[in-house]
This record gives sequence, C-alpha cells and structure tokens, in this order.
Amino acid sequence: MSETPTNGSDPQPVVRLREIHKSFGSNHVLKGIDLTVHKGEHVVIFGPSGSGKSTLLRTTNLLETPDSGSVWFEGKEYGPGLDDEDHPKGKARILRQEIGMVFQQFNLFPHITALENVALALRRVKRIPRPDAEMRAATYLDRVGLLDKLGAYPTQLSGGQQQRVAIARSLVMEPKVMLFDEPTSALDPELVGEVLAVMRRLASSGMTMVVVTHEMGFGEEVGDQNIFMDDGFVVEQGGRDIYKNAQEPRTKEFLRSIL
Amino acid sequence: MMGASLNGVLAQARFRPEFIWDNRDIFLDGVWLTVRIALVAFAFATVLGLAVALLRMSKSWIVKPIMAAYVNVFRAIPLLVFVLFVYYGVAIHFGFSTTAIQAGVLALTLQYSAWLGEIFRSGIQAVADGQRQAAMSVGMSRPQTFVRVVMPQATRIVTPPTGNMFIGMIKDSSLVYIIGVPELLRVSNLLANRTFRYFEVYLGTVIVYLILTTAVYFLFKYFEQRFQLVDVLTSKVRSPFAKRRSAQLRRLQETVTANRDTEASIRLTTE
Repeated sequence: MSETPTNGSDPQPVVRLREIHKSFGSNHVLKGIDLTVHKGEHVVIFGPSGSGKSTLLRTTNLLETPDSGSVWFEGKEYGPGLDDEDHPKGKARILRQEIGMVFQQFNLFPHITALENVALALRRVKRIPRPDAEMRAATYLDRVGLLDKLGAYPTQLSGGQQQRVAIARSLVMEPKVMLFDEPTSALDPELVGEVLAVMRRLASSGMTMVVVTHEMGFGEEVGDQNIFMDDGFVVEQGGRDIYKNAQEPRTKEFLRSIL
Repeated sequence: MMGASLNGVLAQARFRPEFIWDNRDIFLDGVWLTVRIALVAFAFATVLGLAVALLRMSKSWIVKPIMAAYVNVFRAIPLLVFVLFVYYGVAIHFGFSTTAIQAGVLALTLQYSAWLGEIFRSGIQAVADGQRQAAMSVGMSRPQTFVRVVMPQATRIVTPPTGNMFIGMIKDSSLVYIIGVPELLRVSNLLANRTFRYFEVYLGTVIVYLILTTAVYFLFKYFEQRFQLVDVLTSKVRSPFAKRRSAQLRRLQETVTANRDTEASIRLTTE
C-alpha cells in the first residue's frame, strides 16, 4: 500500500482516504475505510444510521480527525497519515477552505441575515471587502433562487430555504468538492424536492460531490460511485445499478427495508 | 424622659415629605457614589467573569479545578462577611494602603465575577455545536469562530440574566456601608441618626434605589429589543439604519438581476 496517489494513468484524485480508523471511546465507528474521489465525480454513501457514513464524510474535511489513516486532498496529506509514509502535513483550516459542507441541520448562523451568512467567510477568511463580498453573496443567493430573501434571518425562512442558503454559503467559497451530510433528512417531505433540485443541477454543472443520503432516487440519478456502509465497513460499492442489483445480502436487506 | 419620647413619637407621626427634597444634596452625593461603585465593580466583574468562563471551559486538568474552586468559594461567602473580610480582615490588618471604596469594589468584583462567569459559561455552551462546525467548515479559525459566531449568539442568551446581575450589583453595593463608604445607604443612616426622621429618610432611600433599578431594567429591555431580528426589506420599522440598509440590499438585488443573463448557465433553480 505504499503506492502514491499520483501513480498510474489514473488522473490525480481530488480526495483520497486510505485506511481510515476512528473510534469514539470504545465505539469503533470507522474500521479501515478507503475512498477515492475524482474531479467531477458524484459519490453517494448510504447505509443504516450508526454505520459511520457521516463520520466518514466529516473526516474528509477533518471536522473529525481520524485516529489513523491518510487524508489526501489534491496531492497533499492533511490527515494523520499512514505509518509507512512520511509526508509534510497541510493545515486543516486550509483544507476546509477548499471543501464545502452542507449539514443535516443547516447550521445557518441565526444572528445574521441570509446575505451575511453567505458573505461571512468571504469577508473573514478571504478578506474580501464588504461591498464586494456582499455582491458575490447576493449572486450565489440568486443561483439558489433566494435573491428576494437576502435580508431575512434564518428563522424567517422555511427549512428548504435555509438549506439552500447553506448550500450558497458553501458554494460562494468556490470549493473543489462539496460534502452533503444527509441534507434533506431534517426537512418536511414537501420541502425535500427544492433542495434535491438544487443538488441535481449542481451535480450536472460538474461539481465534485460526496453525498450521504437516504434519498436512493438521488443516487440512482446522479451517483457515479455508490457506496453501502454498515458497521464501519464499506460493504459494497458500484454504479447506479447497485440499487436494483445489489450483490451483498446485507445491502439487499437494507434496500428492501427502506423501500 | 417620658415626655421627650412622647414628643419624639408625635414628631415622627407627622409625615413631612418635603424633608426628602430638602436633603436632596445628601442623597445625591450618596447615589453618585453608589452608581460609580456599581458601574466600576460591574465592569471589572464582566471582564473577569469572561476570563473565568473561558478558563472554566479549558481542557487543562489543572486550570479547570482551580476555576471551579474560584467560582464555588466566592459564591459561597455571604457578601457582607466578604466585604468585612477584605477590608478589616485583610487590607487594614496587613496594613495595605487600600481605601474602603477600593476594598468594597474589590469584594463586589470578585463575588460578581464568579456569578457572571457561570452565566457566561452557560451562554457560550448553549450555542449549538453545529454553529462551530459550520464556521470551521468554511475555513474560519477558532478565534474567528468564537468572535463572529459564538459570542454574538451567547451575548443574546446572557443579556437577561446579566441585567438581573446588574440590578443585584446596585442593591448589593449598599453593603459596603459597613466599612464606612459614604454611598447611598451610609449617608441615609447618618442622616436618619442625626435627624430621627427615619421614615422620610428611608423612604427617600427606597425611592432612589427603585429609580436606579428601574432605569437599569429599561436599559436592558432596550438591549433585548435591539436584538430582535427584522428583515429590513419587509419590515415597517424605519430607523435611519434600516432605511440605508434596505436601500443597499435593493441595489444589490437590482445589480444581480441585471447580470442574470450572463450567469444563466449556472443558476441552480428553474424558478
């Protein structure tokens, strides 16, 4: 396993996780996960709750530091690294500026407006002056269809609108990868569609995406790599036919149970 | 003897409200010192309380128990006892050149920093963890996350209990009368003992405290109202700030709408 990610005819992956282990106390959540994501690829991760899929997503931008394993992003090591390799490590904060993340609970900042939510990181992280930052923020709010809501505070928005603001807040940083952590799970059923529509268009625009979701329809539609996780392992992965023609009994059982 | 005390009773029986007004200068001197003591002690206690809160949340196994002890000790001692201890027990006994006012302010500051520290800590911890994660996920540093995301939300949470503490500070500042600080209660005592007009004097004292605490109550109520979140584009509140901001936002909307054609290909909604 000492092969470097740039080897071979394969173009350099955007994200590469190798042998990721993570425990919370005595609970071993990730048991040696590998994941490679190429530019423009859409990875869909599904599985029962507690299977480690959210934790895996959160190790990708180091919101969760793995106990061991390698977190590569565009040819640079950010994670703890593998024992038999020694690479200089990048800073987690730099990594996070390149990777956007959308949360199940939206996590918009409730004390500032939609516009200010989207402009905050431009101003504080990229040090863009306020008028320019707000212009760019307004442009991104328009892309998710919320230009008329830029003065609204999060509590004045529906769940679907909040999640679209959250997507704009990530996109405005022009990330190379977008991570979605069950983005529609906290939404009322009638609001799921508007968020999925934005994600679908984002996918067809060529954005590299890793999506943890229970929306199997989304995986069938845009998933290039579809991964079924259970109990800290990748049980099965494949193309879009995985949802109809799963090979592993555990995958079949899970897909049956949610349909 | 009998006649004198009877005269005294009769004299006191006649209520003379103008007595309060006639002695207004004495009351005002006392109030002025009360206000200064309360303001200075509260300002120090706020700064110290924030430090206490941050240190109490430290992960260090040595800092954490020390700060827990700090909070518990200062909260456990009756304030009156503590004022006496700081001034007579420490300052005078060991010959520090501390004035009674300084000792009183110190005692108030230490006790209130413990209470405020607990309020601030609970306020900071009440900000959802997802807020920190969201801020970190867009590349903000820990200090930026604290200042831009956690602090503003915690401030809103702690404003009402902090207002209560400030009212408490005004009232508790009266306890430094015991070490001879000529604040409102002390000058009232002196005036009452000199003139025997206990009812008028202490009625005046009560009224003045009532005015002070009511003013603070309305001040904090105003702060809480300022925290109300209104969309300047749709609300009818027309402060100069709201007018300027809504004009800014409308200009933004117009510019973005005008540029839409060149951006059409990357719109993420069909509406």
